[in-house]
Amino acid sequence: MKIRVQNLRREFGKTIAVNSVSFEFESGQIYAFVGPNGAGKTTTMRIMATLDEPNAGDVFMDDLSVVEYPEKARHLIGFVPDELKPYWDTTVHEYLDFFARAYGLRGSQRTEAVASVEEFTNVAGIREKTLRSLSKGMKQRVSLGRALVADPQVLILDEPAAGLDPRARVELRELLTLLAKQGKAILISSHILTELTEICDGVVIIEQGNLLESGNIDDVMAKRAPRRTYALRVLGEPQDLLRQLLQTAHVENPRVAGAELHFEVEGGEDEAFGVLNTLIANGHRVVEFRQTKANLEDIFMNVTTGGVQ
Amino acid sequence: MSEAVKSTRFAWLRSIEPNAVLVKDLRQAARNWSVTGAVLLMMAIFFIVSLGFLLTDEMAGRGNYLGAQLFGSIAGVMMAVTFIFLPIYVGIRSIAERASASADLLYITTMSPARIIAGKFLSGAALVGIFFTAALPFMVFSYLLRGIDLPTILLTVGYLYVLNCLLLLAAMMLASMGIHFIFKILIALFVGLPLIIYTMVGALGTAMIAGFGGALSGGRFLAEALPLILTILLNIGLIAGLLFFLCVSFITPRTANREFPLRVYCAVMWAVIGLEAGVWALVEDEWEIFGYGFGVFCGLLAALGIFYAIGQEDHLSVRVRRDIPRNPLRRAVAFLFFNGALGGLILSCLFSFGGLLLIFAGLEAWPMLTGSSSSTHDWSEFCSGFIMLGLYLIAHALMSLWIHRTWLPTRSPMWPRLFFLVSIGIPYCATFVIYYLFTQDFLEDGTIPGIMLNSFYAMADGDEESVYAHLIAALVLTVGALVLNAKWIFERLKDFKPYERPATPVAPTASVKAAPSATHEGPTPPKLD
Repeated sequence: MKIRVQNLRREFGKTIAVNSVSFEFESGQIYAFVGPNGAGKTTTMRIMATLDEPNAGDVFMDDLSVVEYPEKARHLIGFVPDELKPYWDTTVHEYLDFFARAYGLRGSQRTEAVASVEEFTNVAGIREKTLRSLSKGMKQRVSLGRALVADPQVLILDEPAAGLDPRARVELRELLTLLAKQGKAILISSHILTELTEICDGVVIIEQGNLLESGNIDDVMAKRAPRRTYALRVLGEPQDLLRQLLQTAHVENPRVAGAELHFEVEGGEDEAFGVLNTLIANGHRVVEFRQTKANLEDIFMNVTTGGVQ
Repeated sequence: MSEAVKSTRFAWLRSIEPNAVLVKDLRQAARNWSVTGAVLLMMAIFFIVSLGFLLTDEMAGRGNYLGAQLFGSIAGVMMAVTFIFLPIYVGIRSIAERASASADLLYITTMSPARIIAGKFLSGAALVGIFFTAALPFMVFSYLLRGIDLPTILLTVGYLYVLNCLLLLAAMMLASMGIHFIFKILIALFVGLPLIIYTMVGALGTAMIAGFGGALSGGRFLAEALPLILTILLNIGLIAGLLFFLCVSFITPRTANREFPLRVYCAVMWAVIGLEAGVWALVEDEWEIFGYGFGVFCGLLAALGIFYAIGQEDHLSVRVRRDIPRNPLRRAVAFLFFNGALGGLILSCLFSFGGLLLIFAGLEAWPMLTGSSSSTHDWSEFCSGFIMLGLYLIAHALMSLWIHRTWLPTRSPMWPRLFFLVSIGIPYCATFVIYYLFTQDFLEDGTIPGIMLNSFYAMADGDEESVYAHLIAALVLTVGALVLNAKWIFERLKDFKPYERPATPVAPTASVKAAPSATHEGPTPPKLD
């Protein structure tokens, strides 16, 4: 399934929250939706989830218009908001069961679907606990389970990692990777950009309602971060090597990162080979030399200006 | 019958899926301490009351009436608990759910707003049933003490149950309204609570004093009690339906055609009430039952309809436009029933003036239908008063819309409702004060044309000249308001056309734009994300 956001525009009075935003992604892909606060991410996601209507433009799930036929589109969409507002006096199992019923699942089909998401999101052990008693991480798992209960083909996650501890974030990331492998199209907005880099296939960057960049993450990085970043580890003190690197041709912005040295190379792989050759020739005992993926955070800082509306 | 056959025969029962909201709400109620506490408290009070009746000298003193006395006390306690506690419980839960983001999550499921409201209502009705069931042993006990018959108990309980459900719907409607919760609390305190108390007092009076049991005895039941009971049930059902559709309309997203079911229901209700009034008029052979009954209903429906309609948005979403018929005639009808203030305004006018037309058509046809004279009353007075009030309401409604569009177009579309109330109330109060300041006397003269509330004096006095002066003033105001709104009316009519899908979807592009400058010019908008 291909999801196409097409010339989306949403105004609130005189404020243009989303201004002619277009991008696309498809089944099996995870797309990061990034932008500063007030950029229009939530508005775009709410429109995609049929919770709002644009002033212009449309969202297509294959050929199905979300704006024109939201009732049909809802069968395809799972939406995870930034925070799960629990219902009073409801257990995890009852909550998931309720949404399974609300999505029209019946009898054994519902029982199986609920059991399946409980197992997948690893909440089966806490199914009889009330939602209020859960930690933030567990609530997000339940929230993800709720979105998955009707087996949607598209998942829209609005800041799902906000407030999660590192372990919960890693677990969420693993779940999302699994879901993408199952063929779901995933759009995720998050402020924790370093983590998104590892799981995302593509990125959409917006600011002040305007689309700044969208596409495959490698293409965007190649375009927005033309210098290749390398990591280097040597036996001995990295500080000695840092001095050497500062004097080496084609090397830019060398810095110590823990036991490693990171630097950018102007040019292609020939220049990178030249740098490595020089270091070895000068007697440095290189034990690791690799190209690092540019960070989404770097691109984000590169592309956005920090303006808010 | 073999087990296998039995199993097949009742297999369909297993396929029945109860409403999801009903299941959820009942599960929540079962876990909620306040519900359990209220049931236990109520039962404890029943026990103490029953014990008190038996241990004191009431038994000796009241003899055969003890059962009736005990039943009255139990019904009173039951009403006090269920009529107050349950609407508050259901209302608060609905407000909380509607206010939280959970509502959004529910809206993007495949459940329709009607099913959500139906589930909420059914769970409330089930809770009422649970409370009533808790009172059942004590009611049986009161029956055993004699002094009250079984039909009276059953009818009273049934009657109280229906009224309780009506109150639940009213609470749900208040909770579903798109207004600030402070207003909801104020309305609950100043309208809801008096309504509950009035209903309780009225219910006890009707159920106990009228004595359903007496009506059931002998041949009176079929002739007198049954038609009355059916009429009451029909009217309660119609009010319940109206409240239900209002709830549905309130929680339906603005982008949907939220007004359609409500307006269709109002049209059906208008027709059913007209029919009901007509049947009663024919049965009782009294034309006035139809004339006044239906007339007053039409007036009320139109007034409420106008007030409700002017708070509607003009913007028609893609989803609404998608359903607009292409056939001009059907489109004209759809205009009245689809979203939009003007359509609602016209429909309300049709309810009132259509009703008036029917009343006068009936007035002419009555002698032919029944052979008796239709009415001894002078209907021209009723007619002029009806038209005058109708015109005043239309004028104020149109003026309110014009004020909103001209001065506060960015404000909520609900503002015209406030202007409407203010434009009716302020001129009356102002003239009242000015009149008192100058004459040291209260204003009771009905000849201040143009002030709607002032016209009631003229009608009460039966002062024909004053009524006509008001009628002309109302007409002038309406024409003036129509002139001011002519452009808007024309635009609304022109805008009501089916959705035209963009011809060729533009291929999506990653339209990379230069990052806007950090110094963003323009107004500082609210935070959106």
